[in-house]
Amino acid sequence: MIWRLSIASLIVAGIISGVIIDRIAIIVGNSIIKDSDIDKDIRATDFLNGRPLKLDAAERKAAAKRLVDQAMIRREIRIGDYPTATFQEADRELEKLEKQRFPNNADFERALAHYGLTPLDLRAEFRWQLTVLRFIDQRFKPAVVVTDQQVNDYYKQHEAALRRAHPGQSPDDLLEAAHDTLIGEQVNKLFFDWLDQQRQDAQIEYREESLH
Amino acid sequence: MRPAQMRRLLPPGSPLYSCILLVFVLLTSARAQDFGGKTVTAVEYEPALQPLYPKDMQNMQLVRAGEPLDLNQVGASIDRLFASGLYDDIQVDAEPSAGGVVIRFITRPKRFVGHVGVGGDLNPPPSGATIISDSQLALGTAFDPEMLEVASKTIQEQLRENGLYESTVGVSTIEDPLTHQVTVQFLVNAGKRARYETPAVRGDTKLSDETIIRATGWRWPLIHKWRQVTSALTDKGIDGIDKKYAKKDRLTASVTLTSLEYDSATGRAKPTLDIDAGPKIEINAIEAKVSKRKLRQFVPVYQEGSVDRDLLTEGAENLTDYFQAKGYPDVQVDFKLEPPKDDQQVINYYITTGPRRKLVHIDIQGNFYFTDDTLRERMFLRTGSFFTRYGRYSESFRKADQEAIANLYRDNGFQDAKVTSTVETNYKGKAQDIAVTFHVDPGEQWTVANLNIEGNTRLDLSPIRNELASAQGQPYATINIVTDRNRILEYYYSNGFPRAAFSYRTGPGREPQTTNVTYSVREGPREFVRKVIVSGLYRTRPSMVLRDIDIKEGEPISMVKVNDIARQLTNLGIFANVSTAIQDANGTNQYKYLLYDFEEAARYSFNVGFGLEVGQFGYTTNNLSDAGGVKGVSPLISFNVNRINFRGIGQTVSLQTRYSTLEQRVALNYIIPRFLGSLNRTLTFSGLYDTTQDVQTFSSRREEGSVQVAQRFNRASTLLVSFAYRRVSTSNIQIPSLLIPLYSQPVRIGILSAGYIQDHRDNPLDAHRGFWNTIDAGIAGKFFGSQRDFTRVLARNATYTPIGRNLVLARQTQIGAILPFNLPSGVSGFEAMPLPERFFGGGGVSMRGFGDNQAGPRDIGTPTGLPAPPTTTPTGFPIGGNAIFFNTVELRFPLLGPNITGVVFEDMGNIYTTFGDVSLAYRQPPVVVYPSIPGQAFYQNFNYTVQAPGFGIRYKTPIGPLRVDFAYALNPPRYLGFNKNESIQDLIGCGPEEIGKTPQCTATPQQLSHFQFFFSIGQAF
Repeated sequence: MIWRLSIASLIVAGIISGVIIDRIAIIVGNSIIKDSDIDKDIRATDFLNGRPLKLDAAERKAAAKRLVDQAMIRREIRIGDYPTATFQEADRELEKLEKQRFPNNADFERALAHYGLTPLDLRAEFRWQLTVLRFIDQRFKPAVVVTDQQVNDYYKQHEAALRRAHPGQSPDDLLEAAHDTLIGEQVNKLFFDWLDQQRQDAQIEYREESLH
Repeated sequence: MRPAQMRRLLPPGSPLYSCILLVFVLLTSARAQDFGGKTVTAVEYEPALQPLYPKDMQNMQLVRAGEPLDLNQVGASIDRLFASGLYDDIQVDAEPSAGGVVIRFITRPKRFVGHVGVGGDLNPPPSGATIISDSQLALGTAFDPEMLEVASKTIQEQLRENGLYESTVGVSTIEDPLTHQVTVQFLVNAGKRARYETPAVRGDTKLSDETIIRATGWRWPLIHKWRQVTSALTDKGIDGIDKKYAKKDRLTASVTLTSLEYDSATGRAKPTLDIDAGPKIEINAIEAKVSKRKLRQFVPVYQEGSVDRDLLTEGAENLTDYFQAKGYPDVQVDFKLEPPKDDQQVINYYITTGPRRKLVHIDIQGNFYFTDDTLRERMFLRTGSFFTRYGRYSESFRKADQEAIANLYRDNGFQDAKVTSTVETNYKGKAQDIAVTFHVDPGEQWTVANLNIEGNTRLDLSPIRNELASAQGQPYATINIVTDRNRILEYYYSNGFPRAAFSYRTGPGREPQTTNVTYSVREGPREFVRKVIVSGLYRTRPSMVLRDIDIKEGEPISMVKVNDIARQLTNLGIFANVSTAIQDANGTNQYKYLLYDFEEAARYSFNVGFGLEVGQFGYTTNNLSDAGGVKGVSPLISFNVNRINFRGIGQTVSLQTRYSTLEQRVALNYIIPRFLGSLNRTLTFSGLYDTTQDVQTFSSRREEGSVQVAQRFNRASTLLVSFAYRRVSTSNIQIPSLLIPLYSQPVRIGILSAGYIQDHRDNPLDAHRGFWNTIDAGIAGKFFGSQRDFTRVLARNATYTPIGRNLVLARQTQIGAILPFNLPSGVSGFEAMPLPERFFGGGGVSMRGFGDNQAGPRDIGTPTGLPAPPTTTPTGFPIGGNAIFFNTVELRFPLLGPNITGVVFEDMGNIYTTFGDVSLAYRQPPVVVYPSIPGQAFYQNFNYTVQAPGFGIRYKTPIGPLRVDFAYALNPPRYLGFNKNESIQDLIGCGPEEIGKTPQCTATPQQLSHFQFFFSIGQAF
């Protein structure tokens, strides 16, 4: 035990003198996810969800999983030449968030600093999220077909819930809402099926030390 | 301590490792942020020698010494370096230093597939090339050791499929530390090949096991020994069973090889076959006669081995086309699948042919832009003619022709062109005649108002601007845009832009029916050659190939140039394969290694050939009869050995031998390609020993040494300059006069020759258009050590002119002369030329009115000058001449189907005593009568032109047409000779006083045969 501790002390001493500040954490096909990407993803996710910052191994693994999925989506967007959201659109989302959650810009800046983020980081995050939403819509929605019968059945089964969600709206509006819900469900199903397939087909190499 | 060292001390997965990692991560996440903003005092790399080219490193790695550390730039640098494709792993380490922080990039370079070879104890099949191909290791792609395991398994599987069940596969690798190319060598120990054994046959086979086994071909017939297992033989065996069932009309039979189990004790592999014979399928043509062979050709059930409605419908369509093409445009074809009964399924095709019609007229209306011939060239429909009695007509052909005409108009800017057609039966009151009229509605022609090119910022397109088809004022057509796209992208690819992309858009021009065209180019990154890496050379000197790889470091990568060089190297004939690739082609780095990988061909090649010559020729014997040649057969055998890549510099040594009853030849050649650095210049040293008996008059023996330089200027033109020194001698001379030592003794000839060849034929084996010129001139003299002084010129001109679609008019003229000088006193120019140096001619490739080498002057005895008779008996054997003139005209036409053609020809010409004796006279000059030999006519002059019309048949084969020619000479030469078996010894005994007086010394009038035939391969010229 003593010698192990001695070695550990030596190593820690070594680390303190030379620190890995970034590295490849995961290789997904031809793209990489770095330590810093995982770190930034946790910080952005916790900030946007209003959760306290937590950088433990479980969080890192969850972030890694998200980023692997994103890498596969990025690849598809690149290959399919799907449009990306603009910075102006991202800025509008950023502005909306700031107004909703923070009384003033100073508080917003302070909160960002607490999470180790900059407005530019958040802007990039918003841009990416908008791009993904657009991709899902364009890639999967055209394949979805919802029949009137399905809409009527759904309406009958979920009428109460629909009325609660859309108070004061006419039956036609509620049918429209049922139609949208059904489309959304099927788009989601197609998207997740596609993602599962991508996960099975992709070559993913995890660098174990980065996920601890 | 570096992390790498840490990993060595503490294996991943150990509890201590995890514990330390936790500490490490916490420290890392905490401390990485702390370094941000500190001044970078130095940037280091581990290892110091990075795989990236320094210029690329400068562009891709963004952290700079002297600047504050930006962690985003560290991340961006990792992204960029990885995107180069040259790294497997990248970590960035920071270490505090005086005044800031030292940044260190710790990397692991990626490895790439280099040369893949195979060695050991191979026992093809599979061949080395198949094994390499099975490994799936592609040159220049990322290398992963796991790939070797997969490759070894695949190779092992391939070996087993070929009966090599006891084979082993090993693999070794060598990595080049500088380029990280990995050479892979598979070591195969093939072991003994298994033999088949009696298959287990399961299922409803309807055939006996013995019949099935015979159909496989896995057992030698008669001796009944099982053959060795190979993948090809296994497949052939299954195919054989399929065919057997097909012969028995069981077209839906299913034959599956379920296993091929090896028994190591016996060394045999036992096949298990699952067979379902299926019902007998009977296909009948009802109401019209269609042969079984045609049904098999047109009903795809036979090819597919299954019966379904789609295939039967396709069969009906094919039969409809077939009958329409035969002149039944109204044919109706239907089919009925009768219910299966007693193991039999009957399919009946009901064919109502309707009346037979002849397509007699095709009219094209509304065409103004092209000539009608231009349109007709593109059409399938044909009116009836001598070759196609009823013409060619079917609905599908008519529609295809409509589309072809419309497409031609559209390709020339008539965007809205429409073509329809009408069929008129009972044309001009004849019930069986039909006419088709095509109606062309071209619409308006659109032209290009302006062509604008955008996005070409780094490459000047002006050199190709004039080559673009969509220029201002030119027709606006999609095909022109496609052509331009290909030209522009090819230009970009040739100049180092492998990812260039092209798009276009159009808008209305200012004038009506005009279009503004804009080509948009996305250039993408430009890539340059970092270095050329050559691999796979074991016996070849690298300098030899590097001399040809004219690619400099730093020049833009042009795959067009790279592939052209690979083609040139392949053409050297010393490599079985030349592969090229860019290392990590998809990486974003700009400077890339260019790879040339070679698979050297086997150094020695042997070939043995057997053949047969059939024709009018003879053998040199002591038999004096048939001086005009006899119909005969001459078997031949040839054996050649080539040693390529001699001394590892691409030179070739070859030994060629040929033995037949007419000729025995040994030739040794030493060939130096690319002589004096020119790609198209070849130097050849040759030694030759040849004895020839194809002229009946004598045997010639030739011992020759020669040197020749051949300079090829382009695909069609070649200049040859040679010097030959030879010793020629004659033996077995049939003519007593030639036994005089002066003419039969060996002669040394030194001759300097130059030849020029222009070959513009479309297909040298069977030309249809073009021309072919050759001229060869030489001078022999004492200054070259020659014992005879003469000049020699031989020229040939051949042309091939297509007439319409089916006919070819071919003609050839050959003319030549030998002009002796510095003659010994009392010897004529004709006499001075040794027999083997004279022109001989006649035969299948020169003049078909003669048998082989039967043209020209013949032995007329030894003349002493009028009025004295010859001092020796004339034998009538050909003795060659000093001038040649042959002219051939040939009309080639289709005769039967696509493969059999016919020719009619007219050959004329002869071999003449001297060039001054060349005469186009039709009649042979009159005979000479000597006063001392009254009553006997002597034929002494052969200087006239023999005319020989004829015809021939050609059968097309991959090695050229198989040829039979029949010629009838209208005026074959008459001569004095013997028609009985007179011995040469008898003739030698004839003194001048006995000539014409004793039976053995009396030659009688003879005439060469009017009729000649030839059988060979290749057109006459």
